[in-house]
Amino acid sequence: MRIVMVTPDIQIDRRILHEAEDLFAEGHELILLASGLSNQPSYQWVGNVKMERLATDQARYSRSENLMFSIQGRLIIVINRLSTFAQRLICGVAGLFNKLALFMQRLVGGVATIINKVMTWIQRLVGGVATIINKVMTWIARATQRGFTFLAVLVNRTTGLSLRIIRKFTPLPAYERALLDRLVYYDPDIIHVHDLPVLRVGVAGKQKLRVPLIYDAHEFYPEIHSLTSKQSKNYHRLERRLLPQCNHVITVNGFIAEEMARQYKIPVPTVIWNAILPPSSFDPGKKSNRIRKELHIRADRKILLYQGWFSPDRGLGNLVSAMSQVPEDIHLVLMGYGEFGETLNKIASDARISDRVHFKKAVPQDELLFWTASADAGIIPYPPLDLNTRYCSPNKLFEFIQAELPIIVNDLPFLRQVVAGEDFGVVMSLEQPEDFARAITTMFDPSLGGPARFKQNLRARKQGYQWDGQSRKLLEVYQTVST
Amino acid sequence: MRVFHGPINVAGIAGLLARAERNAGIDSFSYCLPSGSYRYFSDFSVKANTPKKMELELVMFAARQAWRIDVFHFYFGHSLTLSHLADIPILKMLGKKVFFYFHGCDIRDSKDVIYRYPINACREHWPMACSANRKKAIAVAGRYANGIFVSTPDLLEFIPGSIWLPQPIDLEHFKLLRDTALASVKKSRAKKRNIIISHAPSDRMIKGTHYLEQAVQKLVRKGYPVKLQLVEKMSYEEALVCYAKSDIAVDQLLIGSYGMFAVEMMAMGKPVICYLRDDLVKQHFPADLPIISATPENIADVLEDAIEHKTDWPDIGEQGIRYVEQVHDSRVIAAKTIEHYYSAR
Repeated sequence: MRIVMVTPDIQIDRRILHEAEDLFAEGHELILLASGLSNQPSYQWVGNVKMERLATDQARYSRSENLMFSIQGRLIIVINRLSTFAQRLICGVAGLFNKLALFMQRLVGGVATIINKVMTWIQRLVGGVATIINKVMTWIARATQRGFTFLAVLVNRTTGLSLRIIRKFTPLPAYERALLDRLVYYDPDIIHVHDLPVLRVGVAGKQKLRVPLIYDAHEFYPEIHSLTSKQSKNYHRLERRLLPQCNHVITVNGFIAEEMARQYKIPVPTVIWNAILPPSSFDPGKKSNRIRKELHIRADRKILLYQGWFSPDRGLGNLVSAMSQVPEDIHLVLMGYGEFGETLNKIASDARISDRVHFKKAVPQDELLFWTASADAGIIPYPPLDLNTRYCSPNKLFEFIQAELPIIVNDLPFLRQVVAGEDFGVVMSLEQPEDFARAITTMFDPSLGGPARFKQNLRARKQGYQWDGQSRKLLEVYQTVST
Repeated sequence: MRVFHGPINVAGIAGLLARAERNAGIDSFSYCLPSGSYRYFSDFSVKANTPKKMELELVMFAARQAWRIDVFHFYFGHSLTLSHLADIPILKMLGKKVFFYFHGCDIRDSKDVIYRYPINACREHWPMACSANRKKAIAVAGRYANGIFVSTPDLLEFIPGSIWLPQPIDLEHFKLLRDTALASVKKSRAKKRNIIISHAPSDRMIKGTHYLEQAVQKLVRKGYPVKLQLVEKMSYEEALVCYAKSDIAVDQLLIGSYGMFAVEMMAMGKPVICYLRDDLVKQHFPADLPIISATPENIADVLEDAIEHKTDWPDIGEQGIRYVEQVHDSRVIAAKTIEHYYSAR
């Protein structure tokens, strides 16, 4: 079978690649249609997956949209030309009147010696008339200019309104239409859509090609806190309308699955975790010192690791602040990317703990576990900003588990279920720096056994959090959908 | 009878077939889009230089000339409205006969090929080379065409009722070119020591060029004096000189059926290696087809074996020339097409 996956990702989620490779191993042909930047190659192979990137400037406008653009453009050009012509004409006429008035004044001035008094009066009269004419012409010029400006605004507003009306009746926006064109060209046997922003494309493709559609919700998208309330409402409406069109719905954990089922009144989606497949060369039992070596951290110091995007919404500021309240042998390593890193650095230097807060650039995905395993504990401090983060199941959770790294997590449902349920680490409500400090101190408390007390559980149960188990569920979904 | 050939001049076939039919007494002519660096012969060329203008020029041509033409012979799933094929129903309404000649990616179902055949170009080719109007062309041809030709027998399965019309070659014209090309390389040939393997990858992924490159490297490592000559991005006349310089040719390694390059190399009297699918060999190709079959896996071994039996090459070359004369001579092909034009209802 040919499976086409559609994703809005530019940086392709590992989950997508895991799924694609598993399906390829089952003998399917995999094509991944992703978003891209104009400087990225349009076509490339990612492992065994054929990937096409469609840059956002490759939108395909409908004929009616193109017609409106062209009408608008041409009308504005015509108005500009007419306006210029009118201005020139008015200036010309005004100039002519001025010259005539000047001529009359000079003529009258010449004869002034003969009939001085009469002529002075006539001269004044001519001057007055010229002033009036000038004022009238200025007024006409201004009125014409305003008229043309009004006309241009009218054209812009009318075409804008027409475009809005056209788009109201057009099922897909221009970029999604371009994606749909490519999807239809590939003529898949199954469409697999990753996340809500491209679900409309998947549904349109399904209707056009009459093939099954799988929707893989990596997030509870309409609940993302960065959306405005209007956007959130629209996304909810969209998801509710489109979900019944999907042959199968997958999501990342049971909490989101239950919530989707409850809110949209659909059968509970299949849960496929963001689990990972450790590289075959990776052995967490083998002690690694990568972080210590690179950041010059002494062997008797403890390393707490945060890895991933330095986002201002992830509680990282409180985490850094908390470092001044924990024993001095604990060092925090922030490994990842993002502009917020500079702010974090400043918080550390203001608190005079720069020597215990270290920054490391993000490492390639295939090296990540080797770095992760060289820390002593990991932390996931996400605050519950919205329903989506409340029910989050971040990749780093699975990375920490595979690296056998004891974990400190904020008290969120899925994180609690895994970390407290399996006794993989410390679960505490992380709101203030003091909460963070307490959690960190508890994790590293030697009287409780330090992070080592969680190692045995991690070693024994990590297998259940590897991709293999999720892969079986995915193949079952495909089996169901294709029969 | 007035016959139109065009507007796509795939491998120069439209121009060549029109000329052959004209020589056979039919009022045929070709009117084609420019063929890029290959600069294939065509009686008339579209002058416009942008796709929209080209389309307009072709439509204007149709409006002026269509009523004078009896048969329209279209290539590569394109008609006078190019990939839209909107003119076909109108031509049929006007009582014209319409023929299509398909050549590969214009009708090949890549999904089906990947699924059914372990060796195939579609799996490896990225981006996909399938024509965007493939399904439409098949539907339009199936509904309106008086005859559907395919250039290689592997394409027969993709369009019901199609006929294998082997790629034509103008042997008289080709002999002239060949003699000129051979004469120009006579001197250098006497000096050269390396065995030159020529390969003309119009599309490297479709032809499986990297398998050949690996095979040649393997042979070089083994100490064979071989050199791979890739004939690409040059005019047809320049390409012929390269062909003449070579000792042996390798056509595609992934499709399963030989192409125009193999025909030309056989006409040159060179031994040709190409991947031939077993089912096609059994059902369509003659038992004495003078082409050595090789797969991407065994191409190095086949080349090695061929080099070890270098003394057979003149015989294979002779057989190739005879085969091309019997099967691919444009006069033979033109006779077939003319018969179809007359007999089609």
